Amino acid sequence: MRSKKILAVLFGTAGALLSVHISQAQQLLGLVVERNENGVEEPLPGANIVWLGTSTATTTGENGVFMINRVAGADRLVISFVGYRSDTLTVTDQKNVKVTLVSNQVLEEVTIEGSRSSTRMDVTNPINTSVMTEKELFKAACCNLSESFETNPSVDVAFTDAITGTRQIQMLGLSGPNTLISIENMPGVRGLAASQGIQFIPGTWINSIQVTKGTGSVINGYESIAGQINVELKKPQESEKLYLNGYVNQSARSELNLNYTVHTGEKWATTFLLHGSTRPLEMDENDDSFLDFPTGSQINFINRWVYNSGTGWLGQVGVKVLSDTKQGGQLDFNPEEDKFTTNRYGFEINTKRYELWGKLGYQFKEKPYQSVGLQLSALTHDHESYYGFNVHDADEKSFYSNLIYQSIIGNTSHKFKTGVSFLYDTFDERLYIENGINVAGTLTNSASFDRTELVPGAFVEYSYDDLQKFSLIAGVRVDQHNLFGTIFTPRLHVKYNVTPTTSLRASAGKGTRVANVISENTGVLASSRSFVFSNLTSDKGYGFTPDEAWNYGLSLSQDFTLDYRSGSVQVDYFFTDFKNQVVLDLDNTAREARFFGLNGKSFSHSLQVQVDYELIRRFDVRLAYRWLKVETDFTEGMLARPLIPQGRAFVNLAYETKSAWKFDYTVQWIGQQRLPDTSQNTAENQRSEWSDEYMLMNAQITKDFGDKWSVYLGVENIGDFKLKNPIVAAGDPFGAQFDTSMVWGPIFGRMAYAGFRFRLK
Amino acid sequence: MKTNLITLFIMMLFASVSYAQSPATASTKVVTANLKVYGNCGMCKSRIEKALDTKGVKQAKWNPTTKNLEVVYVPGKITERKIQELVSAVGHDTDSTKASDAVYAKLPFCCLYRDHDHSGMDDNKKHD
Repeated sequence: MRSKKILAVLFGTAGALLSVHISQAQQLLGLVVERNENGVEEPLPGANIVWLGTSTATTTGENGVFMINRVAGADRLVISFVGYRSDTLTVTDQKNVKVTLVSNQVLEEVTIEGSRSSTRMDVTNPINTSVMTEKELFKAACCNLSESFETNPSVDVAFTDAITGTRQIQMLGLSGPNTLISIENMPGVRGLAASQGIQFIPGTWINSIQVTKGTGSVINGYESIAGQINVELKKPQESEKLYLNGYVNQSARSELNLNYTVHTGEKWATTFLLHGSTRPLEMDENDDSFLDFPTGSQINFINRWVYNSGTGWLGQVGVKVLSDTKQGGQLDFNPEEDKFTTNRYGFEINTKRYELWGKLGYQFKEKPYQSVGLQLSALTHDHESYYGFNVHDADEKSFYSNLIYQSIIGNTSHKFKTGVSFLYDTFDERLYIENGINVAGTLTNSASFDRTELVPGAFVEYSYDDLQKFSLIAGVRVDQHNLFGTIFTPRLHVKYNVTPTTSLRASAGKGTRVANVISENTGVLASSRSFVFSNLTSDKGYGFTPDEAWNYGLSLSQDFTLDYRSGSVQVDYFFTDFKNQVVLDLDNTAREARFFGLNGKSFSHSLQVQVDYELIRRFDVRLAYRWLKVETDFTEGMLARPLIPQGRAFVNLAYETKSAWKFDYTVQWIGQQRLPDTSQNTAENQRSEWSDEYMLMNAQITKDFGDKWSVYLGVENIGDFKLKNPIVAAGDPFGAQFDTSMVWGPIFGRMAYAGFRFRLK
Repeated sequence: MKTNLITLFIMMLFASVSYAQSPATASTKVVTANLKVYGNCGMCKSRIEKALDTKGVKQAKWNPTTKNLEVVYVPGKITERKIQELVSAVGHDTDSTKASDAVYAKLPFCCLYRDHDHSGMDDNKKHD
């Protein structure tokens, strides 16, 4: 056995040597290069190689390499290329040659300084941030930011109601707006966009997502309470030249995305991001006469430019245009005939949004740690909607600026960032509720919540890093709100590396947020509830002072290597304690949506465990479990927040073959959720006090063909689990008990989809 | 139902960890070898390491500066010679095997280690 092996090895080696020998005897291998302005060698593709006096010729490849057959008697090799001086070599017994061609134009001496890193903020270590790269996002190919968190245990996504298909995220069991969603560290999904905004960021535009639990950095404002999600979009510097993505699912939901990047000269580059999508068909799988999701379409476009002077100046400017329409409700609802009638129940949500933003930065010469940056953005957002007879129309115009200066104190262990910001935000908002609006005892049907916010602010953030074990970020900001006075925001993040693979993090901080009460709770608009505003705490805006909460977090992460493959375990705990909050109470009576200023306590406890490990090579496993306790002092006393799962667990399996097949499978368990009280309804319209727990499974197969094409095929909700009667009193949409906001699970069942990606580097 | 699921989850967690550990105890038989492999840049690194994504090799790490390949393998399943051959088959010379010119000629410019030493180059940049 052993001798056989040796023999085989010997044989193999002899064969290998022999073949090498033969090829070298017959062919000459060569490389043709030039020297660029910096004296660095670069390949010259397409150069002509010929044996003088023969017809044996070839050209160099992309890498500057050529292979040419030896010709008996010919030993003079001519290398030529248009614009360069030809060279002739005498080749005797060399096996390979290297030729440097010289341009026949005398180039003027150009000196270019070493390239500078872009002003992208560095990932601040002590803050508990996980980065989701494109690879992670590809695990769930569909379709926009709201659908990107399938494999992230920190972020939950839930429907706001059973008819509009609107999704909102939750972090630490707190509804979406408690999480600051920024786009490239500028305000992203806030204000009126709180209702639909996360559906306006197509997945193929996303370069990466940073998910921060707990309060984030003070540089990005005072708003983050539960966490911060920062989305980095595709940038001209690092994007493919062309990226085309198409997607379609079995309900004919279709999407087309096109990213296109052009480098216009040395200093400028631009990227176009274009998205078009449509849901053309009316679908009603559960036979409740209501569409399971609306029909509609979206056109979304970004054009962004970056500028790099090469001397320290960096600039960016971009424009975004969005138009989105949604229509749904009962089957065959036709707005022309049925709008504001009792023929059929229907709704429309139409959004138009225009944004303009810019960034300007300067990096001081020979001081890579010192820079100054200015962020500017302006937007208009126009939201028009009706649900049956209820109407919600709102316009927002907003302007934001943030000036950041960063440098060091003494040495790079002590860094600081400081600056000033300004926010102008004006809202025209009108609400009509068929069954009445009760504002502190005054009854009406329509109300307007116009307001203008002017908020200048200033911040300082100090960070310390001993470069080994201990690091810290301490920040404070003060903002002067024209309606709500001074907002003081201190935040602290600390990280301690117990061992090189074990780190311990702690954070504490305050977040403040002016709640956009209607936009953040659009689900109840699609119900027969009357609106009640009670226990008012202010005479501004909706009548409430801003939400204010303290957030405390503790986390432990342990990296390990088992059998030469790496893995990690992370455990974290967060506690959020509201001092002030606008609470939506659906339990007082099933006929009212009651907004009130918090009197007692409102808090959230969140505990999460996550294990990642490469079980066998190219086979990654992620296990996660999260437990939540989220309670609020409602008018009826302390109750669990409705429609928040008390637990969630999932297993994500990802396997990749050597031949570029990728298999992803996720199974998740969603725990019980408390449902708002429906005991006043007639028996058939009552719901149990707690929802069932349930499981959801998704799977996807992706195959890459070379580095240009990839094709994917997947199934969502394989187990076909869906709510039987997601809408309360679906048979009587204009009656008193109608309510679409009691959604605790999927409305549609198994859904297959397919798509492709095409990239040109 | 709920407790069942939690139990199931914990069992899976446990199973995966214990499964992961069992080969670790068996892997006392593994050998770590340090081999010279010629190459230049990050592109070379991923090519070399990918070539060793094969049965019998537990881990392969190549350093562009030192040209050292640290490879952990199971002697019963693969030989050092075979490892060197696998590396040469994708274009990289070792101290005892040589890549064929035909394969070498197809390497990207930054990896043409016989013609220049690019180990200090920024590998992320495309050479166009």
